[in-house]
Amino acid sequence: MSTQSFSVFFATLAVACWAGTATALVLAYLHRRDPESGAGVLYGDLSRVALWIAFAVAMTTTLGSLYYSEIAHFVPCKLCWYQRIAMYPLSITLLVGALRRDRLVWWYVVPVATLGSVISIYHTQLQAFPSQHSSFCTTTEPCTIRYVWEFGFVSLPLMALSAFAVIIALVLIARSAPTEP
Amino acid sequence: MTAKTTKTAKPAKTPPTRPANARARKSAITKARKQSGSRTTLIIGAVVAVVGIALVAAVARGGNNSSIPDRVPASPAVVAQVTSVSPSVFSTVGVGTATSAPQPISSAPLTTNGKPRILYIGAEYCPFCATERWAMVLALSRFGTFTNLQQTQSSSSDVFPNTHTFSFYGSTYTSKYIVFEPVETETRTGKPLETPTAEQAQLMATWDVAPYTTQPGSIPFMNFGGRYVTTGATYDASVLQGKTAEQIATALHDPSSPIAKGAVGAANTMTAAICKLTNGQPANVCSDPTIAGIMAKLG
Repeated sequence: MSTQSFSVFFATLAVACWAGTATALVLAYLHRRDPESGAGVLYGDLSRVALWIAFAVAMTTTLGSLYYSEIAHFVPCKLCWYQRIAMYPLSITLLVGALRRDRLVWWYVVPVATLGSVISIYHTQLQAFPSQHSSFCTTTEPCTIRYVWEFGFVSLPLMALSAFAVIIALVLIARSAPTEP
Repeated sequence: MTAKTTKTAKPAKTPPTRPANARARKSAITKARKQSGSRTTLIIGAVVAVVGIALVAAVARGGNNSSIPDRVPASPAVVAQVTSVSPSVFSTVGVGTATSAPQPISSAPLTTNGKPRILYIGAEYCPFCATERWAMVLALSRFGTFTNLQQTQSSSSDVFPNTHTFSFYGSTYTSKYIVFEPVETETRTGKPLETPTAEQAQLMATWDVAPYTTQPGSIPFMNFGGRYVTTGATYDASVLQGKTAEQIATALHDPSSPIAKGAVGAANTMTAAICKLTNGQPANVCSDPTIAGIMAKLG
């Protein structure tokens, strides 16, 4: 597959992450209103597998970023590195959390993912308004250039943001997973 | 016996409905687990389906790749037009709308085989490099000849997207007077292309800083024989927006066009800096009153 194909693949997953985050929020609301309702029960089921899905998202994002730098040879900018620093450890943390069925893993995940989200938001707006002359950017490793631009709105930092958002939603849902196996 | 009696009596004390309730509860739990299990399978199935849809989209859309190639050999017509701008156009434009001239520096002369060396570090994605290359080809063609010039466009997702321009990657330049050393570090999509040598990187690290630029490390960076430097585009990049290479090349011959005022004006300032390095050679270029006037102001 070409770099373009990979970009479409990851961009589609990013859109799915946003859809997943929105669905998770709706389910959380419905569960709060009536835990016995169909949506409430589905929320309970989702909470059982939420950590595994969050792990899959973090691992896919990690592998995706490595693909872009090591295979497609896109040079990561400073802001890209900060987002990577936030995302890479989540793959390991979420795997261990999922294996141990640790409902409290959100304590470790949410602060890092929130920090990553803030950087992603800043990076996304910087690409939208590149004339800001951010001190993070150099012209040899620019952070204003959109190496990926799919569907007219999906860039690499937006992909990272979508992953951070859905991971935060999923680990918060995993808090209410039943303790029984 | 008593114990026996007690043992046999015990079941009698138990309400007859209790085992049935336990069975019912067990059955209900089993049923709930089965239902929960099927819903969990549904969730996992949904995730797998999403990945499948993403794969199908990737194959369908990715296969239909209409992206612009990194570069193609420059059109001979475009090269001919750019390298044949008449001296009268250069004279009429003067400095035109050039926003800055090469800035003098104090360093050891940069030479190769006794000829002044001109270093350029840029990248194909960079819109300001795209802008500057038109002026560079104009100026350098007055001192020598390019072969195998390439045509490309700047990044489609940066400011001034898809600016049509040349690329120096794979080109050669021959001149009696100077040596031109271009380095295109990345393609228009950001893939690595050429790496500056340690010496070139050191020159950039030394001179691509304040007060010569507000953004250290910015490209395009040019060092004219160790005597002058420029950073960034030296005329307004917006004049090239939406123009094809052919349109730009044609506009260079019209001294009243914004493109000629920008690119030819910038080329004249570069020409003056090079003339300083070559001690006024060739005379037909450097003795032109316009160039001589700019040389006097360069310092």
